[in-house]
Amino acid sequence: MSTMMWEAIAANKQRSALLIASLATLLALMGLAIGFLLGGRPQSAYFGAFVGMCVWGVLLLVNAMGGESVLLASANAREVSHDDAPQLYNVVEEMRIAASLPALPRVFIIDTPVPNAFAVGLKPERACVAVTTGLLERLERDELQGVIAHELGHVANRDTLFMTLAGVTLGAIVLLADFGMRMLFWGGGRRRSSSSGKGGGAAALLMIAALLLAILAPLVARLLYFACSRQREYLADASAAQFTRYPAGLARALRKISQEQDPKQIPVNRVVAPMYAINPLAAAGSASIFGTHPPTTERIRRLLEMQGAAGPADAT
Amino acid sequence: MAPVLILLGILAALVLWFVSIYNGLVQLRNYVDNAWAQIDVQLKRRHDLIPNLIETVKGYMSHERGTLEAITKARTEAMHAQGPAQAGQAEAALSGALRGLMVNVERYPDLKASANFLALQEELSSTENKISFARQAYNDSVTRYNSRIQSIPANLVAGPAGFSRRDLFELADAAERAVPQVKF
Repeated sequence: MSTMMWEAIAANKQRSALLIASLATLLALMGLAIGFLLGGRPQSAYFGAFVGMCVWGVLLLVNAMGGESVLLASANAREVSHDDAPQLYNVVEEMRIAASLPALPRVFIIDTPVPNAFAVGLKPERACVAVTTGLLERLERDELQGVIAHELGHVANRDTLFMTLAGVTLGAIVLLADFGMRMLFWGGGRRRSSSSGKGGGAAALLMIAALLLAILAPLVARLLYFACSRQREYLADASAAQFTRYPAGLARALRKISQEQDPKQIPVNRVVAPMYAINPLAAAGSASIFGTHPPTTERIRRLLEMQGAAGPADAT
Repeated sequence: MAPVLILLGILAALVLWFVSIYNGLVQLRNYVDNAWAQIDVQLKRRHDLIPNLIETVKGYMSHERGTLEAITKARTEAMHAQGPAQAGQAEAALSGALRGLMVNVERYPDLKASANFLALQEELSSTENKISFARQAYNDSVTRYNSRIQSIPANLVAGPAGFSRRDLFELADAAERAVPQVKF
């Protein structure tokens, strides 16, 4: 088991690094295109790329300073100790040991009847895991263990870091596209038409290419982002199976949670949504191309398959 | 001049290669040591919980003196065990004695309903879980370390540098969860 899993985790990290590199490239291209569209000269294109990178840098910095607390605060999470919620705390401790994390994650509870859970933290040492009271009420110990294992799987696989980085880069791209399009409508176009007097066809072609890029880049970036996060969910499920040695626990929990999703009851925005165990913004079973989570039924099927293999095959 | 430079280059490359393998092995060995320390922490925690448990159940289970004494004795033996092999046996005996107690508890509804006992039971079963998860993590890290020092090319470095095989930590316990076939 282990070597295969280690390889999969390494591949996941490479994929994540590649994703962030391509998102950053897209961001730079976006900056070039928008700068060129607004200024009409190569220098302005470079300036656009520079502005894009600055936006990215600022967003990254803000996130590194205290992204976790902002996310947790926006979800109304309160931190708990062992005495507040002994079972939850113990389960987190157990899974921390199974996942060999360097430090015990901080444990948070969100007061809402909707069952769900998520993990954040740029480094495993700074990880936080939050669960809703609805989850604690509905799940049995084994099931809770499965969900916590899934979340700590994200932490151990460094998904929490990459998801944040990718989310920030995606945010910068969308921000820049928004800004660029608005500027273009409000008069950037006039300056352009006066400056491109004799360049003629070639300049016009360049303009069209830049415009296309500015429109398509946010779309491509979103697709890339979502494609990678689905793969990550399967890997976190596999990590959970490896940690608990009991995939059926998580499978049962997923079935319970997905039956009772009501997106209106949980205070969630699009940024936090991908971090939940079950995407609160999507209905169970729907597998749209923009879905961050694979369909729950497919996740349960894969988990039960692992469970099946754990039965008679290893009993000998 | 050129041949000397090439020779020096090859030598430098060899040294770098040796260093990188050596450092990788050190890291894996540290994982193993760290994982072992985790088991130790949880075993000690279980030893600490037992006097508390005995104190709580004593009043209710005066007829079960034998069971309680067996637990105390197993605890003492486990606390004095040396090395993974001996510790494994003693801890397995302690686990067995504790399980015996939990079966007997079924006959005492008052005890089962007491908040104090319920809290202790959660702590105890969680500690049992932590022991088995720590053992699982330890055995995984040992397996990884052992297979690394035995395979080419790391074995060329491991032998001379004194990286030796580690033992798995086995509890003689049949009631184990089987390893699932992980897929993704």
